[in-house]
Amino acid sequence: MNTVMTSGGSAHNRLLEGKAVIVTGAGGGVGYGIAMAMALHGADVVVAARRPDNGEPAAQAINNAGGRAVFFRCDVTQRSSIEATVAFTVETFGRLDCVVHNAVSAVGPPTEIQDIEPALFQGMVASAVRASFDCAQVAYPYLKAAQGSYILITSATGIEGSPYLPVYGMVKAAQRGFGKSLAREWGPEGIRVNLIGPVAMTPALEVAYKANPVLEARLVKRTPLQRVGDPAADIGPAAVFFASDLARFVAGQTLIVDGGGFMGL
Amino acid sequence: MRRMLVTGAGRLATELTTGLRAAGHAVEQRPIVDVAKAAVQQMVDDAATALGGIDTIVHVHQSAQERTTVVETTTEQWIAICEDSMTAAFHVTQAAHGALAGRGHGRLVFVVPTIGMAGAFGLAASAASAESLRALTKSVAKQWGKYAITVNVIAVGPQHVIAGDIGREVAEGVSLAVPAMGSAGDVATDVAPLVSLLSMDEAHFLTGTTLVADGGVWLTL
Repeated sequence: MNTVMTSGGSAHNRLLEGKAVIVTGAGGGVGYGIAMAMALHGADVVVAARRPDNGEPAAQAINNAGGRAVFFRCDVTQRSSIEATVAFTVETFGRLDCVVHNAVSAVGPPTEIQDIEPALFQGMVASAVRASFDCAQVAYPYLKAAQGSYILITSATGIEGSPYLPVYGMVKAAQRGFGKSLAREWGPEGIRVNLIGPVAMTPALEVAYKANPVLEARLVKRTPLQRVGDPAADIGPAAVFFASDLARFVAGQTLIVDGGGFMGL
Repeated sequence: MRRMLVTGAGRLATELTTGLRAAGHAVEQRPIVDVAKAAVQQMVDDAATALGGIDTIVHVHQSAQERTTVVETTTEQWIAICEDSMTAAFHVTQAAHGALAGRGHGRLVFVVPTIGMAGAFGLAASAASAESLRALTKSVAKQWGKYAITVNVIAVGPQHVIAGDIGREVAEGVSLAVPAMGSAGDVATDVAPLVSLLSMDEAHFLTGTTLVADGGVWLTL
């Protein structure tokens, strides 16, 4: 497990104390960073990941850093797996306050739309779109009981498109249309739904870098803060905010956390 | 005059077809009865044969006609409304490449309701698929500029895709604004001309954009 920068709250400033959280795709990258940040703000975190070989070390690293986390194997493309993860969370922590759906299947190499294989399309729809729906349905009674929140990890690619990963853009945009609608449905019931669009070192960005060697320099140059985000220190706090009472009046919003590179909203 | 394929069998697609024919275009309106790649390819090929080639493909988003909350939506409903809609658009786009590349003025136009941008109570599956089409548009516009194909979106008020009181209630639910033009408009006379506009040679430099044709309600772009 890579060492990450952390930005946990101090003992008197732990925004998620007493809350139980599930983060999907938390075995690495943005999901891991969000899990770390939420745990260091006092949340009990279920590291929901498909592979134990990265999920278990991720949970261990969070515990070593002073948080409380436990790994649970979860394949978000299987509804029964989501149901088991939610049941485990409630049995273990007695409640569920927030679900962060971050997991997405492999984005594949840069490909023009006419050459994309059906399996890649279907995999991305299953992991990003269907799973957003399944996580919502399964978690709903617990989020309602806790007056909690649901956070979807989208991308600016879903807003501005991508010349490299058109299907990734499709599914990330679908999450925005879904999230805004769900915010309208769940707001009256006290559940807030919001989205985060991060730019951090993720598999999708690695693909884009490989496809275009000058992209990294261009991306940094267009970013006012002049760097790509750190998953825990830069992206995690956005999830902490949305899950906390600080965001009690925020619903249906997309927060782009990318150092200012995308300003199209 | 352009040769146009309009996908879909619903009211919006039919009214668009009416308006485009009235403007002098040769139009084939074809329903998408099977979203599988081969079936969609066959549909596009058949239309191309009937028209002697295609200049503009207009893919009309299929929206739900009833409101169902996410919690009450069955998996089967979700697949039919959201995922099949995304799959249809994906396969139409793939087929469009072969039909439009090399013409020098290929046009792909998606027509969606504004609910994808605004979100809508009881229509999350439709909103998700509609918004996915807008992102698809932008990505493909970036990829296909080199083929001289433009790709754009026309977003219409929900009244045009969701019938009756529900469509009106959805519109009122996402904005307090009264349409600047006084109404949501008529598809054949107010929206179809935008397809003609996008199909003109003069529109060759306009790609990846969303033209919001709701009479001036959704003004956030």
